[in-house]
Amino acid sequence: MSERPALPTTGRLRSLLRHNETGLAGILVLITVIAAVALPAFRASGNPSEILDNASLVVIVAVGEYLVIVTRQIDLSTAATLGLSAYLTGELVGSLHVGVLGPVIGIVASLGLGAVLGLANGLLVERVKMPAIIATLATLSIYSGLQVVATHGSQLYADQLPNWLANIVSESWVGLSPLVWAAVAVTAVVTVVGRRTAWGRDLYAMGSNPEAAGYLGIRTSMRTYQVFAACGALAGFAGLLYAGQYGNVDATAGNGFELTAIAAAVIGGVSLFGGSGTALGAALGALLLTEIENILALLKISIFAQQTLQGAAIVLAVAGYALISRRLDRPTRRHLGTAEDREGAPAAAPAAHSSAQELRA
Amino acid sequence: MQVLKRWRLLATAGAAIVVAALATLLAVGGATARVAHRASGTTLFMLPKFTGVPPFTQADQGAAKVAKAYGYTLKYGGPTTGSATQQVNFINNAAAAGDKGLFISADNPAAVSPALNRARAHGMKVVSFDSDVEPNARTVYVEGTTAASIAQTELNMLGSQIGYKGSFVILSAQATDSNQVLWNNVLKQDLKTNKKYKHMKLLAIVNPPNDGTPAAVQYTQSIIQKYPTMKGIIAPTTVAVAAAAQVVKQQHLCSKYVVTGLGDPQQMKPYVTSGCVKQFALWSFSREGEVAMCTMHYVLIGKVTGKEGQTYTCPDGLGKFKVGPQGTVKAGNAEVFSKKNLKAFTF
Amino acid sequence: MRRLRPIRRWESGLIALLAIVTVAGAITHPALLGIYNLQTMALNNADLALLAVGVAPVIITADIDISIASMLALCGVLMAKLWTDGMDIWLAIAVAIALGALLGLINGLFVVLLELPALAVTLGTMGAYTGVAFLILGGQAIINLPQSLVTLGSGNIGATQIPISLVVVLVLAVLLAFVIHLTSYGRSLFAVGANRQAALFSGIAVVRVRLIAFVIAGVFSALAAVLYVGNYDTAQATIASDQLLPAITAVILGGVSAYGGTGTIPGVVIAVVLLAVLQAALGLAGLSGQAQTIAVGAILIIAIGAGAGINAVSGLRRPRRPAISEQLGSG
Repeated sequence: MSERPALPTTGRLRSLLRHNETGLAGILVLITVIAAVALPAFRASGNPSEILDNASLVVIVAVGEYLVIVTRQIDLSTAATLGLSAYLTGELVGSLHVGVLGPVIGIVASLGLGAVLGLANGLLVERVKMPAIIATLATLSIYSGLQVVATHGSQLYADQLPNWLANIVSESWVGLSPLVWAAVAVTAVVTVVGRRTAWGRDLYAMGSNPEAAGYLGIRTSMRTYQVFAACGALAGFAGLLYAGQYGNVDATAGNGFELTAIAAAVIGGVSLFGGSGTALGAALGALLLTEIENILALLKISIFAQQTLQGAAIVLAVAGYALISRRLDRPTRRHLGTAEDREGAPAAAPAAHSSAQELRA
Repeated sequence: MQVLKRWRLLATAGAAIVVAALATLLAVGGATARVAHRASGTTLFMLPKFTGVPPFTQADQGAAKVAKAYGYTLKYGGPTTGSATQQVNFINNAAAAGDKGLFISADNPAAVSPALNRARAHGMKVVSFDSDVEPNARTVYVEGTTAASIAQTELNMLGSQIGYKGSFVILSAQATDSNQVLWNNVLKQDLKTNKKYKHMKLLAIVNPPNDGTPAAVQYTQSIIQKYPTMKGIIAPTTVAVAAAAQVVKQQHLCSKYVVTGLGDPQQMKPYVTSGCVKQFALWSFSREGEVAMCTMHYVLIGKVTGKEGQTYTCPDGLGKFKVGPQGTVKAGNAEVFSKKNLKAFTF
Repeated sequence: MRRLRPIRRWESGLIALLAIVTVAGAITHPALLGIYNLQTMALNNADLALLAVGVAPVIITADIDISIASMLALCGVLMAKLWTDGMDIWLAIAVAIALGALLGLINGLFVVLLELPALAVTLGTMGAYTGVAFLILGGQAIINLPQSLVTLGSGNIGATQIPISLVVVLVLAVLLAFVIHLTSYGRSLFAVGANRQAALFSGIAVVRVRLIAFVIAGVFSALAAVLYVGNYDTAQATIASDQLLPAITAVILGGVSAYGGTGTIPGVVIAVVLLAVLQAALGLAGLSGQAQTIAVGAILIIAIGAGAGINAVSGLRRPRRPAISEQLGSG
C-alpha cells in the first residue's frame, strides 16, 4: 500500500484488493491446491519444478513486455528476437573456450543483441512515429527472416553448448534450477526498478498520460528508447536460456512466443491501456498460464479444448481486472476515476483528459 | 525549432528506410547467390514444408547433386514457417516462372492440391516427397520409406529394449500432420495383429498443439507424470524424439524410460553418446532427395506416369526403383542407429 | 477536407509504388503479367483482400481485431461440417455468415460494452475461436466440397479468364467503400476514430458505431471463409492462421492509421494488390522465403517512414499528434 501513494486510503481490504498480484497469487495457490488434491500426477515429484522451468522463459519475456506495455506501447517482435539470440549467442558461447568468462560473455552478448534489436523498435516508434504495433509487426517479419538467414538451413545442436549452459535445467541451486533463478532475478530487479525508482515512475506517468508526462519534464523519447531496448534485451537473454533449456535451436525457435508473453502480461494484470500493472504481476501471469497448460495436459483434455480454455482465460482476466477496478473506484470517485488513479501511478492527468481516457477505456 | 524537428524526423525516416533497404539487399543478396547460376535449360523447383531446418536442407543437397548430373537447374525455396497459403504462392510462382517440375513436401496436403492441379494444367510435373499431397494432384510420391517399415522399426526398437513387454506412449506431432496419423495408425494395426507385440500396450498417442521443441518438452514431462509406470516413449518426429531425450536426460530418468523414434543423427548424437538413448531410426533425407530427382527425370521424359509396376534405374548406384500402389515409390530403408554406427555416419 | 488531402496523396503514392514494382518485376520476369500468374494471384489473395477490407473499419475506429483469421477458420469449418451433415451448401454459407456476424458481435460486446482493450480481448477470442473449430473437426480436414462452392472460389466467369472470386471481392469492396465513405454511418466511423470524446459530445452513438465495425469484420471474415474453402477445397481448424499478419499489414499499408480516424477502402485494396504483386515479383525473381518475409517488413517501414518524411517536408501535420500509440489506448 505504501508503494501506491496516489491512492485515497479507503480501508485495508480495498487497498489489498487493489493489488492485482494478491488476487493473482491467491488464484495460483487455489488452483495449485485443487490440482494437487485431485490429480496424483500433479503432485508427482518433479512436476512443480518442471512448471517453474517451463514458465521461466515466458516470465522473462513477459516482464520485458510489461516495461513496454506500461508506457502504452507494445512489442510483437520478441519471439524473433528470442529465436535470433538463441541461435547466435548459443553458437557464440559454444565456440568459445574461456572458462568462467563464458557465462559473462554469453549474458552480455545476449542482452546486447536483444537491446540493439529492441532499440531499433524504439527508434521506429519514437523517431519515425510508427505505431508500436505496426513497427514491431514489421520488425517481427524482418527479424524472423534474419533468423532463417542466420541459421542457413542448419541448426544448433545440444552437444555444441558449453556445460554451464546445457545444465541450466538439470542443476539445482538451493532447490531451484539456475534457469528459474534467472527468472526470479529478472522479476525481482524489474519489479523494484518499476515501482521504486524515478525511472519506473516515469514509465507509469507516460502510460497514464503521454502528453502530461511530457509537460512534467519527463524525457519521454529517451524512456521509449530505453523500454524497447530493455524489452529486447530481456528477450535476447531469454534466447540464451532457450538454447540451454532445449538444446536444439533451429530457424523456428521462438515461434509464437510473442503472443504467449503478451497473454501472460495481460493475465498478470498489466493493462494494455498503459499505466498499470507490475513486473511481479506479469511473472505471476506467466506462471498461471503455464500451470493451467500443465494441468490441462495432465487431465488430457484434448488440446483442442485447451486453446478454447486459454483464450477464454485471457478474456475473463481482462474483464475481471476491469470490473474489479471499476467496482472499487465507484464509492470514492465516481466519475473522475482515470486509469492512473485506479492503478496507482502518479495522478498527473488534467481533468479533461481524464474523461477522454474514460471514454476510450 | 519546428523546422529543425521536421528535419530530424526526415533524417530519421530516411535512415530507417536506408537500414530497411540494406537489410533487404543483404537478405536478397544471400538468397540470390543460391540461384544465381540459373542457366538455360530445364529448371525445377523444390518446395519444402518450410525452409531453415536440416532434413529439408539435406533433401535439397541430395537432389541438387543428381540434378547437376542430369543437367537440370534446381531451385530451392519455401515459407519460413509452415503455411499452406505461402506454399501455394510458391507453387504459383514456380509454375508462372516456367519451371518444368516441382518437388513438394506438403504442409497441408488437401489445401495445396487444387493449386498443384492448376500448375499441372499449366505444364508442370509434380513429384511429392516426405509428406504426400492428394494422390490426384501429383504424378509420383517418393517416400523415405514405407509406413509399414516405419511402424515395425519403431516397435522393434522399443520392444528389443523392454523385452517386448510393457506399456508405452507415442509422442507425435500436431494432430493435423497426415504423415504422423498414417504411421501411428499402421503401428496400432501392427500391435493388434502381430503376435510378437502382444504384450506391448499403447497407452496414448499424444499430439502437442504445435511442432515446436518447447511444446514437445512440456508434453514429454506430462506423459512421464501421467504414466509413471510406462516403459518408454516412441516419438516419430525428429523434434519430439530429441525433446523427449532432452527431458529424460535432464531428469536423470534415462535408465527408467526408453526413448526411441525417428531422429536426426546429428541431433541425437549427444543423447546416444551419453547412453541415454540406445536406438533410433531414420532414412536418409539426402537419398530421398536424390531418388526424387531421378524419379522426376523419368517423369519429365515420360517414362514414369505413376502407374503401378513401372520400373526405372537411377544413376550413382542408387539402384532400381518400382512404382507401387497409388503411385508411391519407396526411396530406401530406415536405418537404425546406435552407438556403434553413429560415429561413422554422415548424412 | 484537410483530412482527405494526405489520404489521396497516400493512395497516389501506393499506385506509384505498385507501378514501379510491376514494371521492375515484369522486366525481371515477363511471366509476372502472364494470364496464369494474374489468375492465381487473384485467387490466392481473394480471401486476404476480404479479411483486410473487413477489419479496416475496426482499425478506423482506433480498435483492432486480431481474431479475424480464427473467425475465418471457424466459419469455414462450420460451413463444411454442416454440408457434410447434409445441409444445402448455400444454406450452410448463410449460416456461416451469420456465425461471422455473431463472432464479431461477441468481440464487440467485450470491447465496447465492458470497455476492455481490443487487443487483449481479440487475443483471447482468437484462441477460443480456433479452439472451437478444433472441437468441431479435431485434426481432420474436410475436402472434396461441392462443385458450386469450388467454382465460386476457384472458377472463372463463363469462358473468360476472369476468376469469379475476383468479381466477388470487388463487388463486396465497392459495397463496403460505399458504406464507409458515403453514408452517415461512415462519417460517424471516422468521427469516432478521430476523437471518441468529441464524437460522443456531438451526439454520435459511439457504442453502436464501434459494435457495427466489429460485426463488419466478423461478416467479412465469414465471406473470406467461403472463398478460402472454395479456393483451397479444404476446411480445417488451422486454415488461414497465417493470413492474420498479412491482412493487418495490408490495412496499414493501405493508409489506415493505426491511431484511427483515417483510411480508405480503395487504399486497402490497392495495398493488397501491391503486396501480392511484390510477393509474386520476388518469387519469380527466385528470391527465398526469408527474403520475401524481410521485404514485406521492410516495405511496411519504408511506406510508413516515407509517409512521415513527406509530412515532415510539406509541413503537413498528422491529423492528430500520435499520442503515443493510441492504437493501444483502445486496442
